[in-house]
Amino acid sequence: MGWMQEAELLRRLKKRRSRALEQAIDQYGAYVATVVRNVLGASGTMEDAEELSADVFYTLWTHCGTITPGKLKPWLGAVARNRAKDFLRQRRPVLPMDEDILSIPTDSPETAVLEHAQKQVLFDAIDAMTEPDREIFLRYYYKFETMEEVAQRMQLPIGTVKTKLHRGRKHLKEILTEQEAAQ
Amino acid sequence: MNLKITDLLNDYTGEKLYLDPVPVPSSTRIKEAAMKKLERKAVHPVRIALIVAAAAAVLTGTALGVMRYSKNTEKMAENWEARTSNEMAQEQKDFVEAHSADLGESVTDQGVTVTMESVTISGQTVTMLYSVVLDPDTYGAAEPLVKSLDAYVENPNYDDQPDMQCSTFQDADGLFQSRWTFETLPADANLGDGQTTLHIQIDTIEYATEVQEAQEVSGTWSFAISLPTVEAAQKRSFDTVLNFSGDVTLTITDIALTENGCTFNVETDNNDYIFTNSGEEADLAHAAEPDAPIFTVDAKLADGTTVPCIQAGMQYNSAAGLDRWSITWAVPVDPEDVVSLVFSDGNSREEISMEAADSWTLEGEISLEIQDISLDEDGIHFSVKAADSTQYQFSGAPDMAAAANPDKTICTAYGLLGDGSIVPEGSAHMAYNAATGLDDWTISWAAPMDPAEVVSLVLSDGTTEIEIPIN
Repeated sequence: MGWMQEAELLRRLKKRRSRALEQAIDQYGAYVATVVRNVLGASGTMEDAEELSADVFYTLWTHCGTITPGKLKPWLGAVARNRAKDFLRQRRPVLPMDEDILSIPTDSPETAVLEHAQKQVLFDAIDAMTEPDREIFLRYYYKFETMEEVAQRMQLPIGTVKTKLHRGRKHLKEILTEQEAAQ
Repeated sequence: MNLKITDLLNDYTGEKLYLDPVPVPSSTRIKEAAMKKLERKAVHPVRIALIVAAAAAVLTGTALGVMRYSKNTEKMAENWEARTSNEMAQEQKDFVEAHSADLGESVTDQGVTVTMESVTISGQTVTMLYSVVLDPDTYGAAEPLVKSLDAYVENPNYDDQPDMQCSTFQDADGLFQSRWTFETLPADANLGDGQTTLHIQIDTIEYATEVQEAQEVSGTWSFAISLPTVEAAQKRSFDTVLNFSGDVTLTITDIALTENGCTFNVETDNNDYIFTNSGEEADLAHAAEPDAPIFTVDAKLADGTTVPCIQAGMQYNSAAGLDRWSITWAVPVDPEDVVSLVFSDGNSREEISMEAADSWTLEGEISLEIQDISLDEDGIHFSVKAADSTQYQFSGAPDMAAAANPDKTICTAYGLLGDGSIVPEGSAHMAYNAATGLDDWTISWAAPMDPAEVVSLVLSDGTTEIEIPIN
């Protein structure tokens, strides 16, 4: 879908055109459902995926005014992933993340959140990772696959997966620590 | 500071997410589930904002066939079907609904109960559906008729009372539908701005039976209706010139589409021509006087349905020497849904397209068809259909490109901002798309640019130039 078609779709959604929502589902329904099912893995059924995908499009209906034309697909992907993550958390209060915490030396309160610009630096760093490091990192932290699943899907020894994840975390920690020090 | 990586990635929108192929539910199933969610929201118990409830009801109806439309929408759909013999399209019904709300405000005096049932706001027009019920103990089986009806609007943003035209219909069910058009509202005024009160005053009701002569009853049936908030549709204007050459030649210019109808100028040597309602009335007029210069104009929507005209009025603009016609559609219509206007004199018809083009052609020394234009922060992207890709080239430095390629047609593409300033080009890059057979071009901006700021694109081959507006 081109920029102008997407801008038109969002404009019609803002005008509360139900056909526009149907069009969005026709266009991106399979993509959203694929993201959801990838994150749910074996922890969700087809019906769960259907319900969560519908949730994503309901969110599109209510938040269409905040989306920049040209960014709809990644926006839907992010919402789909987060919906699926919330669902997993309800089922399994603690996701199987062995090392999910990055401790950054700072004077800021523990609850501090990253500014948009800081997050972007972080995301750029992820995008700049070489393969297969990036795939391992995103499969584990974005899609919540276990180390065993990552190793199996990518046909890598589990030790390699562990090492690459450790390197990835270390790299991100360095970037965030540098940012914090610069502030 | 402790940061959870999984949470940090909540906003991550990377292109490559390593999605594995998995079986997924069909789009139809997702649609059904999404619409059910919207339905649940629609039946939220507190209907504070009428328009919000109306919008939710729109979606309820769409997916499940459970119609929760306002009375006015249903009535307009009925009228539509009666006039066109076609069911009103879902999208059209949604549009009317987004401008409508049920009211249910009643006043009883002299044994007569007047109830304002439902309202629709479209541009300068308010359409009110209301009932008048006579107390059978006092009036027996008599049928009511509203004899005196007045209305005015009150809004803190404008003091002067706008001129108003009113037409009232009574349908087979005995319901009344009055349509007030406030013609001299300030240019930026919107009756659906949430600050407008419509005052309606009825003083006299007439009642009669088949065997009894009409009698009148005087009373006070007054209403102050706070009009719900609705978003005004964008007026669309066209520079198209239509020369309609039947027995009488009309030149039609300055067409503008609004929610309620269309306006246009007519230049002609014949002063006897008229535009009239379409449908049965026009058919009768043509049958009675086949050679008379009687014209109609209807709107054609994207789904192929035709919206008839129910009223046509003309004002002579003596300064310009032109007739300015105002055509009123049978129901409000989103101007952006109108794909063409169909003019007819009963014998021949002309259709003027109101659609934005989806491709543009540069017709210089060679013909280049430009398609699928998109913008982003980095630049302009589009595809070109050309007989020979080696004969032309887009360039950010046309002079240098022309010097280096004297046999080629050198083209440029740049953006224009709202203040008229140009967004200069950076580099131009082309990749031949074997799948489509088109040349896919990217013209980068000289610096990253918010695409929302770009109001139009200008494409040129050095000989011809086209400007493409960006919404």
